[in-house]
Amino acid sequence: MSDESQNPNQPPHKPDGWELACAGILEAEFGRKQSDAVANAVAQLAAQENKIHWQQRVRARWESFSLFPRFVVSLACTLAIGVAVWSLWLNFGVFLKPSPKSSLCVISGGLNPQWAGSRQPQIGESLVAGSFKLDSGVVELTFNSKARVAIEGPAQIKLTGFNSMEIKSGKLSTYVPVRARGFTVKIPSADIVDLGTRFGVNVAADKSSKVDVFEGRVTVSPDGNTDTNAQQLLTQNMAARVTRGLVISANPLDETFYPQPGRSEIVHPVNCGFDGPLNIASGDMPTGFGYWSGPAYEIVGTTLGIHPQHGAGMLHFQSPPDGKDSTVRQVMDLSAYKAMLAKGDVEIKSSVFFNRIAADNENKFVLSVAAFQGKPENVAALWAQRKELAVAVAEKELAADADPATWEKVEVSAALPPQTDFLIIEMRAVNSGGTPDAFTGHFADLIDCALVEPLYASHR
Amino acid sequence: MLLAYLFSIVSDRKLAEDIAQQTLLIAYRKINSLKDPAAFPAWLRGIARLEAFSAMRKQGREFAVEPDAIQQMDEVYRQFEEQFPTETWEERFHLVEECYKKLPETLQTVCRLHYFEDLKAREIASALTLNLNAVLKRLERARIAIRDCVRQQMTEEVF
Repeated sequence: MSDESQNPNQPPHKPDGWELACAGILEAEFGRKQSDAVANAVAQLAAQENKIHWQQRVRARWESFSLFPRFVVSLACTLAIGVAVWSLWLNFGVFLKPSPKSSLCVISGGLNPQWAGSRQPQIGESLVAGSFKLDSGVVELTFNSKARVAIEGPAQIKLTGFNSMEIKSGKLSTYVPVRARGFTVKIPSADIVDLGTRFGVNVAADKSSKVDVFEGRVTVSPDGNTDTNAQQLLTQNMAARVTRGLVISANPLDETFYPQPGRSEIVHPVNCGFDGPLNIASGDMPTGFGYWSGPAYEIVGTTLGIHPQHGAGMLHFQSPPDGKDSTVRQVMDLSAYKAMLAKGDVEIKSSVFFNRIAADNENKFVLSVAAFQGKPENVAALWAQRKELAVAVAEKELAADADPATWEKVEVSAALPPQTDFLIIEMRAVNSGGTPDAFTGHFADLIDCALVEPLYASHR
Repeated sequence: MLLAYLFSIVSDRKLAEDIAQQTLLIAYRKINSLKDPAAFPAWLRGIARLEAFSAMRKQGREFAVEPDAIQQMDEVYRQFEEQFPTETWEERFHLVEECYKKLPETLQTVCRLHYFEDLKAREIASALTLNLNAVLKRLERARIAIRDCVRQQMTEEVF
């Protein structure tokens, strides 16, 4: 069945601001060249904008002086103003550097790590700035910025900042989510800056290094060379060798030559926060990807004194006419994650928040997830026989408290085999008494899924 | 940044380019009236928005987008600036490209033909032997998926 012909009850779609912005960006920014007239006008204005940026930076730095302790400022006033401004400017970086005792990262995983020396830092332990030597095994560090690094021994590293480190020898690879962009790894004779999302580096005994980009982009900047032309931008499946400040293209290596940090890919069900009227249909099982369907439910704002857990809306379970449980389900396409799933040890984690009013007698909710191979045909039968037909199932029940002020979270997880193609996810309000109109104030909000991959050693 | 913003409002490449040019000329003339340099991008978008409205009125075109959505879009651009203060617009927008790459292949194909190859929905339908509604629906699903992915990456914590 074609997946476009379904969901006839959906109202005409009106794009919101996020969607508009994304469509405009797609149209204007990628795979195209702007017309010469616009390019000229932009160039003209860019000169003006540069001037403005420069003024802005001067102002920002000047304003920061008020943060400086007063006695230092009065001391500075005794000096000639020009000299004072210049010296404070030079010292400004002090504010951005962590103090020597700040925790920079946490050891978030390990595969038989053996550190040099008698002290063996444990998983969960925070590390401060300093040098570390790993004799063997693999450790995973999660920086405060959320950048994640897997380091394989023998390796010598130095932790230098909340979002930066140095490797003197050995292998590492990174996973840098959007919020940690700019994560910097110093290697002998160059800096690598990750603009998102994954790269590996191997520093040999002779201090030459190999950089491989698995996903996203990095820049490699040779030490002491401020010329931006000397920077090399490497994108997916590109590699470079760095020797004494020279960056030379090299043949890319597969990511299995490097240790890999654990990572999670968030896979949102469509309209996961129930914040709008889109992608909902009434009926029993959904028959295609990407919309909610159930016999009796609605999307509401604050109702019966319960506020949405997140955003403007939440799911309100209503009572099906037959006194059955109230269910809402979605079918999710995982075909885009085939490469990740192929490794065979990916886990699905799913969570949702439930809440109810005290006046409703029923108090049980269930979150269920089932993974299947193939195409989502005859979804109702697949779901009914999920224990026999699914490649993975997970289910958890919650007995919700009677306090409408608290949202209670339910989490389920299951290992996903490589043949997984799609998921069915279900939220259920249980009608144990079978009475009609059992649900007046039963709610759910913010349902999410993540594919979680563990820490790997390299396959040398 | 400017073209992307304008395209979102007027949904017509040629018109968006004309308005962008006009906006940049006005901005160049008025740049000395800009009091707060930090507000430069928002200021430029403000000029662009007014120019877009006036161009649409002159051509007697109807607005396809709601004023609320434009307001929300301004908020999105502001969020891009706040979250990635040191990056260029090209780098900020890279996030959208990453989300595009995560789309299933069927959706990537219609997106590529429509946004990158500049084909109309009707042309895509005949190229892929689909009906027009199916193409429109796929484009809508692609935009929603990209939106959800970008929004999630910008606003939520790591799982």
